Amino acid sequence: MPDKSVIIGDMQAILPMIVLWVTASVIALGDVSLWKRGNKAINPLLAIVGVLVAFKFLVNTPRVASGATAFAKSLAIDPLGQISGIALLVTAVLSILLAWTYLKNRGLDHAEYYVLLLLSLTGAMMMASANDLIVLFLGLEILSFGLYVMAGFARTEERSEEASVKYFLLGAFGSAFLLYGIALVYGATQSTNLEQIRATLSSSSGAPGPMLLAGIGLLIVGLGFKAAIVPFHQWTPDVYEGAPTAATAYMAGAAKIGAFAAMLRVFGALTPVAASWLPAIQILAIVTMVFGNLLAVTQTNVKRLLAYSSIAHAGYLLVAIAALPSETVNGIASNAPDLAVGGALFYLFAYVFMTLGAFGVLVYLSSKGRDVQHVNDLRGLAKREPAAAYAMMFFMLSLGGIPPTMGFMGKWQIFYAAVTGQQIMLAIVMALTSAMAVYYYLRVVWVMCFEETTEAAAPEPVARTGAMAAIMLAAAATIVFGIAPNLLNAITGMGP
Amino acid sequence: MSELYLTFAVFGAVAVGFVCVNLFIARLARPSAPNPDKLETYECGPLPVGEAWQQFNVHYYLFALLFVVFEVEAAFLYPWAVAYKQVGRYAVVEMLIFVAILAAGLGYAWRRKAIEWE
Amino acid sequence: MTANLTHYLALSAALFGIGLYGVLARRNAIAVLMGIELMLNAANINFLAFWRFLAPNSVEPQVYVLVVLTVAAAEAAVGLAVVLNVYRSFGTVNLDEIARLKG
Repeated sequence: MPDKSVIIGDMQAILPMIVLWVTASVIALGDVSLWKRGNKAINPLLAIVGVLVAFKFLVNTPRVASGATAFAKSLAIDPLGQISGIALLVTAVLSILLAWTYLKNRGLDHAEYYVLLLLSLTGAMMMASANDLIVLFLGLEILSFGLYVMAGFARTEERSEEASVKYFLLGAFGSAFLLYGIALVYGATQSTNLEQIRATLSSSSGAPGPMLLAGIGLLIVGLGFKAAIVPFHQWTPDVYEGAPTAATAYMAGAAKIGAFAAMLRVFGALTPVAASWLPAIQILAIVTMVFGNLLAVTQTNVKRLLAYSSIAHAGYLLVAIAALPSETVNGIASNAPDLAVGGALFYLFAYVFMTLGAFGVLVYLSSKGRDVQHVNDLRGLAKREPAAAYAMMFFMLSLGGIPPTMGFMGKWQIFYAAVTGQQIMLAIVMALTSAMAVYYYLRVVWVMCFEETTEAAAPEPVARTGAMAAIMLAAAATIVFGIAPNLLNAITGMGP
Repeated sequence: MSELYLTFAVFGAVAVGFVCVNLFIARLARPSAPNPDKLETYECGPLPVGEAWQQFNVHYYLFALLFVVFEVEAAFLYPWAVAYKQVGRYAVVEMLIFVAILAAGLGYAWRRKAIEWE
Repeated sequence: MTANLTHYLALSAALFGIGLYGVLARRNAIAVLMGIELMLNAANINFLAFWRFLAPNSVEPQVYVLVVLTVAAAEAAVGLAVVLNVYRSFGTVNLDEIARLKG
């Protein structure tokens, strides 16, 4: 029997996840037995309370620089896990607010949506602090199962069902690759623990064997499917377009944070054999940045545009991954790995605020009869809905990386990490593709401000307070943290 | 070693031969009266209706799902039963939590009338 | 001749290949799901082979196999529910006919 203090330590480490799981259970069971599917407002309220309590516990967990673990070293208690956990909980609050509005206006407000959201959030948090490849796999699957069902939540709409089945089949395909990769890495190193793998790899001399190389390759493929990296991105536009907009917003945030927190950990542990995987990551980063931005240019559906934009952002985040192994530059110890982790985390926060904000504007404008997702639906928005239009303008400028927004600061941090880590080629491609991206983001702004509305007025949405609150929160964060990036670092305990 | 295989070979030959000889004798002895009904699929007497490849009622899916849940639960119970003497009270509490989580799920399915045959 | 690690790895790679072929070649959503399950089980064979030949004193791979079995069962359950809903909307489970979204 384990020692009492060990048990208490383990439970403290997963307390935020336990809170989320208990809240999900209370909503599921309460909805069928206590308020009998009658009170629709109590479900999102309970969900938000649960997320805030989890947030409180997560922030209160003692900060340890590194090295602290729980559950026999399978979960890491470190800044990377805690900060990406905070980003995930922020995503959850914004998506619950959006879902509250969207589901009500579309006649879909069932308790199960919030249950699935909280349970998949538990998986994403597990993934973000996984110190063991099997725990990472488990977290990824828990995250994905919820997302598959949320994508198909509009059960009577063919597009939603199609998105769900496509996401499921490609997601499950990707996780099969990931698992096979984990098995091969286990065979090569006799461990699935990331610390142990790193220790084994740095003590062994000579070139890595074929089994390890195949394992690492399959890990890249599996994680690439989740993070929507070209050429494993084909599902992204269809799923983003077909899924209910509120679910798309949550999926965009949670899946990206989970996947990149996991990638930062896995490739950090694989640093001793960086020579074998760095070229692959560099090529994938360039291809992803170039194709994500090129394909986004022709899109006329805002949800598809944001899907390609999310692919492009995955490319920028890959640049941070490529800077991870630069522990020494020209024989001198370099802080490039720390800069890369810090930059990637800041970028994930920026990505959450600007992407969820942009989806939030679509949610805000959607009503029962009309699901707003085409660029033309935004014509003349600056006159009809000035608040939403100006918020959207900030999100688009931030996605395009124009100062003084958060998107610019995030890009700058990753760019700086790449230059410090001697990834000059990647830094150049990143700057060029970002400049290209400004075109399609500004086109949305143009349509909103300078084109006239041509269609008849759509029916007014029933409720829109939740979406407005989320948009305003996201817009405020985009600007405040863009002007004062250190404020975010101070709040989350990020950075040096 | 080889005698052992020889025994198997003789045994196999006798088994196959017995069936063939019996079928051959039956063929010589029986009368021949062809009838289309004799070629139908035998279903305990009643007349076969429709194709064998038919869709099953979708309600079976829910039962299959619940079966899978408890089957996997059993897969976890066996290693637990082997190890719980060494682990002690901690193991009992852990398994109680595990079963309680499954029970909560079952309770939800029950209240949503997922396991009632409409 | 007794089987060694290489044989098990070859078996598992073959199973993974068959699953991969199923996913890429079949257009029936259920058949694709079956291919994915084969790929997961190929990884399980790998875990057990590594346990038997490289780390016979470790219990970890056996636990991993149980975890993966559970995940595979949950995946099948979620997947069948998703496919069922698609069948209700589209009247088919052929992936080529489930294409309302452009791209």
